[in-house]
Amino acid sequence: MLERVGQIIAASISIPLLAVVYLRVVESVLRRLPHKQQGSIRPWLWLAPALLFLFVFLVYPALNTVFLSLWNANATQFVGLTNFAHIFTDSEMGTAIRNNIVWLALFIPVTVVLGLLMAVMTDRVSYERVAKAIMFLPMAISFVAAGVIWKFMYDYRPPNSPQTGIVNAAWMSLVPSAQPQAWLVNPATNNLAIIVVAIWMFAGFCMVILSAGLKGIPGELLEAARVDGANEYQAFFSITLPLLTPTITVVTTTMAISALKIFDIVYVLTNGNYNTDVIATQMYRELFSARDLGQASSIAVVLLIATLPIIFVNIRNFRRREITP
Amino acid sequence: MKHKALLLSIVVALMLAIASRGSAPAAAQGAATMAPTASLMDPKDVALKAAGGKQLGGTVTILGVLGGAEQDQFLSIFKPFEEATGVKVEYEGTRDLNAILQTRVDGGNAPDIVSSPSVGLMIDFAKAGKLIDLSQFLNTATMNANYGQELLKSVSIDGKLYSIFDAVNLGGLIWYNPKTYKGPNPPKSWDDLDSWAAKTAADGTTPWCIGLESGAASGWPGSNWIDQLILLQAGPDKYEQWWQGKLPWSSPEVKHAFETYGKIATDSKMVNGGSTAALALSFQNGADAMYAQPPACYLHLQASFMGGIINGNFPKLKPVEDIDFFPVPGFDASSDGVRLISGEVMGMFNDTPQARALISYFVSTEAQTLVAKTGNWMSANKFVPVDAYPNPFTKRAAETLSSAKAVYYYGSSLMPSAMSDAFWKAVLRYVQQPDQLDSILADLDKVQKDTYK
Repeated sequence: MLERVGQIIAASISIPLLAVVYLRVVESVLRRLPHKQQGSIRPWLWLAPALLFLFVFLVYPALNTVFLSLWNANATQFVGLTNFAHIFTDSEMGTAIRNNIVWLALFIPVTVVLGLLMAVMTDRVSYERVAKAIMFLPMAISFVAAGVIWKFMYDYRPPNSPQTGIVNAAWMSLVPSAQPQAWLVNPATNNLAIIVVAIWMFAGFCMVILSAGLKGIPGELLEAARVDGANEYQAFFSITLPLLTPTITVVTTTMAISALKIFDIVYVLTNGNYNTDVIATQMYRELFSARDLGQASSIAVVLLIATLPIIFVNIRNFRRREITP
Repeated sequence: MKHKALLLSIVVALMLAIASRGSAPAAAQGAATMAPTASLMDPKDVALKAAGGKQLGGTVTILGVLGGAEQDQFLSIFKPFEEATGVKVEYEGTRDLNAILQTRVDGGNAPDIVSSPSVGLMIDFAKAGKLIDLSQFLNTATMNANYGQELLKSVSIDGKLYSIFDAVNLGGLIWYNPKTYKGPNPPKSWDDLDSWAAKTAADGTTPWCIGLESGAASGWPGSNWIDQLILLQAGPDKYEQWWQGKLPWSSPEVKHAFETYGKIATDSKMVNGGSTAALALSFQNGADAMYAQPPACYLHLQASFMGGIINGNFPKLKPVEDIDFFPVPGFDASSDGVRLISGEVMGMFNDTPQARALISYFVSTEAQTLVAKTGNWMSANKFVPVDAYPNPFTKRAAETLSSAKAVYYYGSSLMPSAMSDAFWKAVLRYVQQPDQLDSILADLDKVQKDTYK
């Protein structure tokens, strides 16, 4: 333990130190070059360390994953697209893909609308900061911890014993003559129950970004609209919402990526049992239980391909915003 | 993406607090015949001898699944070893052993020693050439005498020994509350017990308590039921063929065992709260309803560690007076007295003098007597005296084990880990949708074909 602490301290001192030394060396070399060349070489040399890390930890693993997805379980035999064929014919993968679509369909609109609602409403009260901090709080909890918390809340006991889960306790006191529900076991409720946990975590995050966008809308515009006789709904739908569209796009795409790669909450709450599997839990199972590197990689590639258009939209949106401030 | 998955799995593993108290493997004919006690040496002397008579110093790292009080108990076995040899034993516990171990072995950062509840996992690593052959330094004759050749065969490949048995549990015990349970005790046969259960169900109380939830390992308590049923109904030969992947899941023997289990677990007259409660209740709380007022059920099938769990949930109960067990009865004379054990096996990934010394020390009857003295586990070593067991549950379990006609390991722990994983999930699917049994078994057949290569 003490050894580790020492290592962490040494690392946190030596890494910035190394960076400074590197830049000093780079600058002293650059200074000897003609002025014109300095300008074209400098950005690349400054970027080099970051690019190196990006390549080693992102580009190379991604390419390697694509490569591995075409090989068998322990990467000893080329199997072509067999792994991909399996993804789209296997019944468990089918369930996982279907569930991910349910996630996209429910998780994105609810988090974005709730986030927008909270942003607009907190914008109008004097205790805005406190209210926002409270609503953002779930985001600060780790996914696994949130899963464990909600597992306790969804706890089920047979009808003849006292209920220890708060959700069942509330359910039974609100609906007289109601039976306790096994929220996480019953296929009619379990996917929904898990998505609720994710919404609880992410709605606050959406709120913070949308709220920032809201602050960027010039007050004069809204004032002018009101002077011209627009009511609050008209002001919101005709002024606020259109001006907020770029921010909403960013939030929506971020939520879409979160929904596609959701893993921890499902793993903790049900481990994908009772038809709650998602793509990421399947990938985990292929990698660590079946130890099928090829199959797991192919699922990762499918997931990557599914997120590419979303990332593309996001980047385009960012660029456009840079051009038209 | 791959890195994210690795990182995630590590985080998840570190934080999950859910136990897979699975089981371990193969036939161990008369593994625990208690031989007359030879005079035992001081464990410290044994440890020093294991270290070649030298103060070795240094450390040995163990990766395992234990945490909390259990981990402390386990480490107490190595106190004399640490004192005598100066070797520091560093134990790291995780509930997600498969993922952590795989990651660390792939990363070239394997622990010296791994203590795993899955023999299948160890065999996988042995086949991949990652484990050290322990027969290089353990005396084969002594090992056979202490543990029984049959038991050791299940952890050997081509005569090379890849694991030792560290701490075991006796499975197939039916726990009950002596104050409320009025059925046959002990029942003469399964049918004797089953007809009492049917009568109780007809009278309006569910006889059985079941809890299948166990985090990422949910379903294992049910797979242990089915292991037990296959062994008792179909006999040891079929049982062995089945876990070795030679008998398909869709065979009549396996299907019959699922159906026998289903008659209990999917019938709301037979199991407390019906299948929904069986699925939703955690295994730790599985027997709680036995102590409700009035009791909601009377019988709970689980291994020897369950007594301690029940007592932990209800500290006021007294062992034997309020919590007791009888071993699961056979279906006929031939299956009567056939027992299943589960437990942990230990394998060595790095060949260091410290690790060798620890393994040599741990297999000794002296160290195994300390295992018995923890009161939490039993030892597979035949020469451990019954008197060493401090609590009535383990002492009686040790007696049951020593009088067993034959002892086997849980098949679900001997299978490749992907197979047992699918087995656990299949149990949950079956309890939820009993009418899907044929398609569930067909799916398991597919996994069987893929995993036993």
